[in-house]
Amino acid sequence: MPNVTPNTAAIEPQKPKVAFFEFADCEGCQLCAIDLTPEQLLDLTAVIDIVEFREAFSEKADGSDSTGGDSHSGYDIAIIEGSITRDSDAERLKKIRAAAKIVIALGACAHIGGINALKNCQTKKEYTEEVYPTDPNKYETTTAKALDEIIKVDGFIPGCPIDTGEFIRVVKNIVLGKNPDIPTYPVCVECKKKENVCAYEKGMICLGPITRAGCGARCPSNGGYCFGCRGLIPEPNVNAQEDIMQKYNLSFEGMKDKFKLFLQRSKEVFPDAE
Amino acid sequence: MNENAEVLLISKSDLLAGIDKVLASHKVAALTTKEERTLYDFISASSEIELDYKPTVLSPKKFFFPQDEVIVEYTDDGKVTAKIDAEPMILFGIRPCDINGIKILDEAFADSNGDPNYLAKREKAVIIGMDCKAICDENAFCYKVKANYAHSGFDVMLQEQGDKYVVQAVTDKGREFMKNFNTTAGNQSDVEAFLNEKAEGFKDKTPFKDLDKLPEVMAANYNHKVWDEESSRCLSCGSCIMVCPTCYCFDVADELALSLKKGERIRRWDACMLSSFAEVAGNENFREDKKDRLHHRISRKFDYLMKKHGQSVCVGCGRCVRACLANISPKTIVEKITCDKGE
Repeated sequence: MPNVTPNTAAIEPQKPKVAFFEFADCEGCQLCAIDLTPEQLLDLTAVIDIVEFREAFSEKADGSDSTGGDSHSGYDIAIIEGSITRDSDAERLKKIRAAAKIVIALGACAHIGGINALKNCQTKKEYTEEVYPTDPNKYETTTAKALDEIIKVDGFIPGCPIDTGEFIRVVKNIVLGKNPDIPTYPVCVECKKKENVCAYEKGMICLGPITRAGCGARCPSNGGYCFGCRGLIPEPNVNAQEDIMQKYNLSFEGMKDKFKLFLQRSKEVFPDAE
Repeated sequence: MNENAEVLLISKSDLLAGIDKVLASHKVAALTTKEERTLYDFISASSEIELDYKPTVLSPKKFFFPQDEVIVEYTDDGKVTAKIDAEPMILFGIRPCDINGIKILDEAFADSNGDPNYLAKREKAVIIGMDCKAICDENAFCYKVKANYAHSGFDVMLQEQGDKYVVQAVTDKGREFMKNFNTTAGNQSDVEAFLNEKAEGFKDKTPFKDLDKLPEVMAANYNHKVWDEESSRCLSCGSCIMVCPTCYCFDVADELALSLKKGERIRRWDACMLSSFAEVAGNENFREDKKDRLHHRISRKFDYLMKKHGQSVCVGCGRCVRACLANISPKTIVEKITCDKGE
C-alpha cells in the first residue's frame, strides 16, 4: 500500500472530525490510541474532534442514538480497526469510505489482515467445523482481508498492537497536512541502533530484515524475534530471506510458518493466496 | 605514531586504579558487557572494563554523532534554541580501526562551516587508544586498508606488554590525563618490542593489491559483474550502514508536539542502502536498484571519499560483515575487482 499524502485541503474547519470504527479485531489498537496521559488527551482533543468511538463513548457522529449502526455523516476522518471477514462487513466498510474524506487503517488487522488472516491458510470447511463443530454454518464468514483489498485507504498505522506515539504522530501530521510518515526501512535498522545481538545469532527465525520498522525493534529488544506484525517493507527481498535460513541452518518451513502469522495477505510472500 | 612522544609504563592494576580515580570527576566510556552484549558504554567502575577486545555492534562514533540527536528546540512564540549537548568524557580502549574511523569523521564534520554538535562533543573528549596485536576475528580486515595502525586521532595510546602497558601520551590533553596515573619511565625500545610483536601477529596479512590506486580501479570497474552478484542477495536492511564507523549521513525531521505549540528538530542516522534514501519529490529515486545502492556505498569508501581523505574510508573493522545476513563484504568486493586472491 503506497504512503499516500491525504488531501487535507478538503478538510475544514481546522479541527477535523474523527470517527473510529471496528471490524474483526480485539479492539486493542483503539485502546492504545487513547492510552494517553490526561495532558496528551487534552492536547489530542484540542487538535481533533472525536465524534464517534464506540469503545470510548456512546455519542454518534450523526447525532443518532447509540443503538444504531455506523454513522454515515458528520466526520472527516474515519480511523478503522479490524479486518474484513464477512461480505456484509465489506458493504459496511464501503459506506464508511463514501462518508469519509480520509480513511486510516488502524493496526495490523486493518492494515494487512492481521492474525485473523491465519484462518485463510485453511479451507472454510476446515475452520468453520473446527470453531463451531455443532453448527458450522451458523455464522457468516469468509476470507479475512485487509481494508485496502476492499476500499481505497489513505494511510495506515501499523502494528499488533499499534504504537501510541506513532498514532499521535500520524494524527498530528494529518492535521498539519503532512505525509503520515511511517518508516519504509526494516526493523534491522532499529535493532542495530540499539546494539541488539541479532536474533539469528541466537538461533531464532526473525522477520526483522523484511518487516517495516517504527516499533523501536520492540520484540528483538526484549529477547524475542520480529513476528512481522507491521507488514513488509516496500521492496522486501524475500528470496534473500531464504538464503539466511540456509546460512543459519534453519528450516525454510519454519520461516513459512512465521510468515503465516501476519503476512498471509502479502503477495510478495504468498503470491497464490486467494 | 609520534616518535618524540614520552614513553611511560604502567601496570595493569595501576591503570585500572587510575581509571577509578578519573571516574570520580569524569564520565568514562569503555568496552563493557551489559545484558549479554559487548559494547562501548559509560562505566561506573574500572572492573566493568573488558580489556580484551570483543567486536561490538556499534563503533564509538555514537558518542560524537548519536543515533538520534535534538539539534534545535522551538516554540510557537518564535523562540528558537540551538541544542548542543556536549560534556567532557574519556573514551577508553579505542582500537586502531575505530581511531582511524574517528579521524575520518573529524575531517568530515570539520569540513566547510563545520558541524557544531559533533565538534563540541569531540573537543571535550579524551581518546585513550588500545593498540591491537592481531586481528580480532575472521571478519575483520583492518590490515587490508592499513587501519590496523593508528598514527593520529588519539590522545594516549596503550600497548599491552605482558602484565603492563606501554603508554604514549601524544597530545596536551593526553599528557594532562596521564597525571592521574602512577606510571614509570619507559623508552622507545618498549614501543619497538610491542611493534615487533604486532608485526608478528599480522604476518602474512597483506593490504589490498594496489591499495593506493583503489579510487581509479573502482571507477574503472563501474560495470563489473561483482555488483550484480553481490547485490542480488542484499536485503536493503541498512544494517551495514548503521554499524559503520565512518558513515555519517543523517536525516533531519521536525517533531512538533501534539499541542502544536512547541517542537524539536531531530537528526537521525540515515543509510544510503535503504531504498528511501535517494527518494525525492514525485517519487523519483536516484538509486532505485539495490545494485546502484551497493555500488554507491562501496564507492564512497574506496573511491569518492578515499580521494578526499587520502586514505581508505573503510577501516576494515568488520562490523558490516558481521551484521550482514546475506554475507556481503567490502573485502570480497574489492578483492574480486582487483583480482586479489586474498590472504
